Amino acid sequence: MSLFSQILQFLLTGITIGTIYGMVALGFNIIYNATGIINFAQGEFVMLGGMFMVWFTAVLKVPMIAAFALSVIMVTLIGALFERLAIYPLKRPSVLILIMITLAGSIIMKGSAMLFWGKETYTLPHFSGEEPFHLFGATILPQTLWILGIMFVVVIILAGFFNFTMLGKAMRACAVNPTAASLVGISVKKMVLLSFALSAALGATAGIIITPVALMEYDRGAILALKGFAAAVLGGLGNGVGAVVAGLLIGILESLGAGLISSGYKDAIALLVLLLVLFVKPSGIFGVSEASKLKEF
Amino acid sequence: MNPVSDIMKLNRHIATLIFAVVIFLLPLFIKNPYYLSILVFIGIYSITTMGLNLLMGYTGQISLGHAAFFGIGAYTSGILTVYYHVPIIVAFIAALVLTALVAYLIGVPSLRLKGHYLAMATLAFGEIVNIFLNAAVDLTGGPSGFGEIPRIQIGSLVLDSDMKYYYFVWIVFIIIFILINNLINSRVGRALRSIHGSELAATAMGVNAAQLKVQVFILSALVASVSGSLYVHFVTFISPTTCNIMFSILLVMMVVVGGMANIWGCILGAALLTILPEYLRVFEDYDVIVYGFILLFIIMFLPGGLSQGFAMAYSTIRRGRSKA
Amino acid sequence: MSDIILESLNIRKGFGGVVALDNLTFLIARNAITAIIGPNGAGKTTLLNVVSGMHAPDRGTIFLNQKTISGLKPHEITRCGLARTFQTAQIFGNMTVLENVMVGRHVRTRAGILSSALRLPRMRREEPVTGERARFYLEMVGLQDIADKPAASIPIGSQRLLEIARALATEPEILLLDEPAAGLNTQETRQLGTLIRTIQEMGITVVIVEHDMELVMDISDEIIVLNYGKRIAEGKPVEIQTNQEVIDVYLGKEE
Repeated sequence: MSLFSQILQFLLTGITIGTIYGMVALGFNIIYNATGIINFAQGEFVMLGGMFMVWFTAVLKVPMIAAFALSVIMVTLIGALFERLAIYPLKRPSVLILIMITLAGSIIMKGSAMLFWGKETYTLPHFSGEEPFHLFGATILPQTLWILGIMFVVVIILAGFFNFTMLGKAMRACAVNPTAASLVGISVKKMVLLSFALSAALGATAGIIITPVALMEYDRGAILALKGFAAAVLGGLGNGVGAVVAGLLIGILESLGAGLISSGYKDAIALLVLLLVLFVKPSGIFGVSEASKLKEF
Repeated sequence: MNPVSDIMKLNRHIATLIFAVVIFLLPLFIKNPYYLSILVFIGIYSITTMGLNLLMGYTGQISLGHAAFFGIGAYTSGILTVYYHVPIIVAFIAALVLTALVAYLIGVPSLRLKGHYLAMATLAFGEIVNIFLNAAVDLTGGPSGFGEIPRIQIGSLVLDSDMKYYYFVWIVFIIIFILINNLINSRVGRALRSIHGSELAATAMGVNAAQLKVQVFILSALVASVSGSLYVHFVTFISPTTCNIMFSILLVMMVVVGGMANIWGCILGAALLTILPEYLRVFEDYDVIVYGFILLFIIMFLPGGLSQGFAMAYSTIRRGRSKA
Repeated sequence: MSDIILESLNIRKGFGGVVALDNLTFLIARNAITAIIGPNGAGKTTLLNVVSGMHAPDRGTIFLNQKTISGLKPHEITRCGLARTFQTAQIFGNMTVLENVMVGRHVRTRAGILSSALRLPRMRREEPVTGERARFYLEMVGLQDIADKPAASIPIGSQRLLEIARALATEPEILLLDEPAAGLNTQETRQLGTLIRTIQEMGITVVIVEHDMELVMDISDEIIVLNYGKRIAEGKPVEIQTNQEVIDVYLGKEE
């Protein structure tokens, strides 16, 4: 394979996995925008999405589309339940408490997954077969197209939701000024719940579409959360477009690094990007410095 | 001179003395090597927790990657003694130097961050170290780790039994305990707590918060490194799973569950979270989920940890007695 | 020793598009009580923040005892002899009242991590002195009876006094007070006035940012009036009370 095709291959792989990082980043942004909370359990939503899908299709023999819907619903319910049980009762929690709570939530979800499904690695059948396409010497799996396609649809739906529906605008209002929002009749508590549910649904979708390619096990959540957070921060925390672009960037960097330098340290690449962004420009490439300083952390 | 603080100081000294006596006498009653080894682990983890508590409970910072420093201590001691036949004490010092260096390099930029950003940075750091330990197979033995790490030898005495190591670990613990206790009840201790109370006001009062945060971060890393070296010469084997993200979270749990800003809480937390997996051995698959619920329960209902719980129970009993 | 303890020269400070301090120049006389007044948004608190080192000025210099302090970090400026209190009481809620004041002594003591952990002679010499000095300042502000209470549990008026005691413990040459009378009733305000005069008698220069005009007119030797980040008037209380521009801008409003 020529160097060009190799690089193209890495780019394609990078875009594929980068989509997932972008979706995890979007999940972080949705909750952060509505509540100011960084949800350490974000990665578990992705893991649970994949695991439920495996369970529904392989064990309960549910047809794929129904299983997809059911898995997303299950994880959404878990996200909502988590918010009601662990977030809702808190009264003016400190940052440390919030970190601990979402951390505890992620441990419980991980532990439950381990209990329920064990420590094995699971896979899903590709949505429409595994016969790859060829493009300039590189191969594209059909699953890649599914992943890109579904992400595209998701981003369109989210953009439409936040910009054109009352509910979406209400959530944005809460992000900007919760006091004013509640004064005009928006139930801030409901928006918090909705943000967790939406993030969970988003995470689950990401988990389902990536499992055929990247497989899934019970403890994948942490590293996914870290990489997703890297994308969120790189793109500017709270910035939707930034999250997607940054996710793709990180995916490509990771893939190029793994292919051209070494694959053993692959996961460290995204983490190094995270550290670099946090240390040098925490507001990310699209964020505004002043704004990030004002955010209560 | 203030009588109240004098009495409190005396109470502290008496408590430490009683504790030391109990520790010293315990093996006379507990001969079972299995229980003794549990007590050894509690000692080792109490040391790690004390260091982390200094950073989290007193200075109000957070580190979700402290397992990395435990690992650096463990691996450096292990690698140097096994593959390079370096004397144990030299390897131990090398581990401390390396840990201080890494802690400084990661601490300076990280501690400029606050809250979630700091938590994520330390989490990422811990993961990076773990990835390195897994991937640098030639140096670290990769995912399977390596063994045959030598026992500590003091003169002609080889620390090869649980009882001998028990005394060794708990003597180290008491030394570090006294040092940290002294630090807490001093100008530096107050400065640390002032950073926790209000970093803004602390700097206005002349506390060089940026520098002090890094110093206490390095100190807590060094303490973790010490406990890592202690671990490795006891278990004589090390692999990356011993110092992974779950261990980092477990360490934070030991601090939180035991009670932050309470040095006795460290022992409580370490004890609980060391003994618990032994009880859960039958239900091994339940351990992670149990940890999660314990953390959740403590955060939501007993934020001061078990030591707060004991203090509340104690004062409730006292109030009951004085009414009766 | 010069009569001028603090000098600000052409200070400019902006945030985003807003100019908070606009080419501000003023002098603070040694051992005087100087009040800085002005309507909301005039830049008073920004001024304190810039002088105490929280923000570096965009342009201009600040001199303390003829030494440049602009650009230094807050803790370094405190070491030079300047202390401040905060508008919203920034006490250390996790410590007792006494311990709060003891932190004020931080800058006049030296025991570091090593001497503290090993309880070396230096640390053992300094500790009792720190406690005594802290009690002295607590007595000065009248909080000696609640020395061992958690600082978070005392009423807001006491918290303000605690901040003053804590700032005094740094043994400053100049003390900046940021709206110390906010939320105090008439009697408490009068006691505050007495306290400030006592501080002046100790040889400390006092700069007070305040809205309470009665207090300001009562205790100030000199008043500086700010508006939109500029100095629009300066002088003795009588002069300020009769300054038309000041009256137009500010004193016309009833507190």
